[in-house]
Amino acid sequence: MTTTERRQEHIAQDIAVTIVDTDVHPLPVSGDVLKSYAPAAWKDKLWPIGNAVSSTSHFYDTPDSYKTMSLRVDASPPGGGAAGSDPDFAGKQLLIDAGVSIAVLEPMCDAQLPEAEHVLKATYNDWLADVWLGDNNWHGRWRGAISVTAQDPAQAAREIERWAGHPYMAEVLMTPQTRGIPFGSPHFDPLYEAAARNGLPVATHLMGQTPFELIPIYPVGNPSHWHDFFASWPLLYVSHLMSLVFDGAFDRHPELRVVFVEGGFTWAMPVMSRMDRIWEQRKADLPHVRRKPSDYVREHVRFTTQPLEEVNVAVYREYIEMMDLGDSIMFSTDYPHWSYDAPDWAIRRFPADQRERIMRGNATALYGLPSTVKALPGERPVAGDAAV
Amino acid sequence: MSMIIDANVQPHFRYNAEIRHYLSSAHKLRAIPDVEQQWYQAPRGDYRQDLYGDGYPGSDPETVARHLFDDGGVDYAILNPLTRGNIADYLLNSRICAAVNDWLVDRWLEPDATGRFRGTIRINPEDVKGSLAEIERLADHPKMVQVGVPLQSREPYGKPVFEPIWEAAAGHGLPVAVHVNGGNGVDYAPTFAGHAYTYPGYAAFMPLNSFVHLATLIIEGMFGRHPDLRFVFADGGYDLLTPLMWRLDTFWMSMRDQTPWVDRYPSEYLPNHVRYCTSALDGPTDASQAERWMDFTEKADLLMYGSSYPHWSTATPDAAVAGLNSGQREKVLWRNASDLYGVAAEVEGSLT
Repeated sequence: MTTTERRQEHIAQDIAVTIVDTDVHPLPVSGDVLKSYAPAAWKDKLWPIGNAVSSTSHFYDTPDSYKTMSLRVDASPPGGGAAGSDPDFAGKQLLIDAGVSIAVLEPMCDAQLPEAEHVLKATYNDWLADVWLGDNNWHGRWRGAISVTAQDPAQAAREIERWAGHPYMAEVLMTPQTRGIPFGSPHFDPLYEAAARNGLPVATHLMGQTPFELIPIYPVGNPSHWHDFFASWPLLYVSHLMSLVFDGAFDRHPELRVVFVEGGFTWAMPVMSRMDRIWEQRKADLPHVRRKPSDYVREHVRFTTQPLEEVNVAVYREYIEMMDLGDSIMFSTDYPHWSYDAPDWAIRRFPADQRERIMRGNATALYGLPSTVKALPGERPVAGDAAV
Repeated sequence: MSMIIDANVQPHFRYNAEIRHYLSSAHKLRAIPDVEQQWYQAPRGDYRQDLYGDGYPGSDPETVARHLFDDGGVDYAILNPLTRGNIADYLLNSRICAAVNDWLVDRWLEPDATGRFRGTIRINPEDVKGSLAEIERLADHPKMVQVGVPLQSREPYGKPVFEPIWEAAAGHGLPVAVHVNGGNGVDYAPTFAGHAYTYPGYAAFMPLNSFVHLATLIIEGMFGRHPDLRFVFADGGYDLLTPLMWRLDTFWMSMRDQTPWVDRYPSEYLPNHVRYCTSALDGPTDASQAERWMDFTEKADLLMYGSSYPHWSTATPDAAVAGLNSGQREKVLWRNASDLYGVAAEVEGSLT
């Protein structure tokens, strides 16, 4: 059944938006499909894997990664292709079965040289707009990220302008692996300026694990295994967050919003109090920081939830309640990756009075999302508060 | 009973050249970074402004004793002198560490009339053989109660290259204290995102790097293989311990096949192997939350009061335990340190 047939056949009902998933990863069904969106001169340059059979190398490998490629094994589409490559099947699993109302799609891609990084990301943008945000988005349930280069912010700004106004491009996506340039650096000003001007939040998400220069050099050296590596990974976001505040990025860009994706959020409150404490004691060193650091974070920064830590639920809820960051946290699943958090598993880990905001409200406010969307064929409408 | 142990005091040379009295002639004329010669020095100086005078702050034992013991009510102080950062010539660095140790014994520990100072054996982990020799040379000194290493390193301390050092420290019953050792040497950038552009950006983040040492010490099996090994993270950063250990526990559950020697949740190693010193940057800004906050990850069992004297961020005992209940205060102010170092065993015996 083609998309057109389905659209004619199904008279979609409107259903309430109850769950927004702020971290979903679509994949091209094949390298050739992606290449078809690349400029002719770059078609054979962007994927320099030589004679390697596997296109992705991982310095830090996830469980059984030779078999799983870090993907959910049950998320492979029945018609073939990798998990996350079929919009219809992803829609069935994530939107119908898991009950997600709207999902923000964040492709993962990275390249070594500045120009290649830009071209690769522009190619992904064209692919995403066509395959996921075009006819296949007849239901309006997908939102996209504009992938941009972090190495050439002027080029990134032009790419943002190219997509500004697209009905389903909801944010800008840049790598946190910025080769030693913290987010608060004026280096990124053109990118931030373009994003803020167009009302687009800037999200950041772990990108490729290759080449090595893209792995941040941990200040005391890098661990050997994925678990100590990734448990320490939030410190990259802490570093960027402190830089954004202390180096004045939010003063230079009052409309800038930054979303830290998949790097945890339970560290946010202690980091905010840490920044407040040193600001109180050393204001003379930070004349350009005009407000309490935690105030900037509450206004300008959002954190996504997956992967939630596996902790005693009552203790976890109490901790989150103490953090009092119910306006700053947004739910995410990381579908179709292996460490997926299901909505009905996650929701009970949040304090009752923060659930609606975390599952829906903070994201709809940030991204300007509607309060209803079209139901998919086979999807039963749920009451507006059923998920909460 | 109640008493106070200050587990983190930095004594200093009276003047930069004083260290040269403790170097052999082969090294006397080498270039050695000054005490405060570091890239990320605090504007106007690293130390309390009121302590600058004829010599460096913290350089006169009688003044330090008066400030800590008489004015501050401290009963024992663990002295952990800084060296001069991780400099390129690791053999020279080992000689600097030895000179600092000789100076500490000569100027602070031997002449100490109060009997309240305890010392740290400074070593250079980039020189494993030199570290082992230095530990053997001084481990039996009755007033040396721990081994001291810089927080800065180009490999995390869980890596096997360091194992002989930790094994030797554990064998002598000496905890290993990790402390930011500001230098002008061969280090990576201090944050995960590169260099900091402001001093507060550096100082607020730097202590958090200790988590990478901790995570690798656990995951590489160092604590599992050495039941007597103890690490002290003397710059604080324990506020991040709960969220990051939760993540390490969670990810370990998925990844434990790769490190089968880690046979329990990573957080289960904390009580027997890990301590932190208090810092002026940790703790909720709302003191009414402090008591509950301390209970997450049972931090009251891990924390020891440390003043950081004479650093600009020197914290009084009262400030360090603000908002805590009496049981937590007792643990943080002295009991945890007393258990770890055994310094107050005789006093404790007479008072309880």
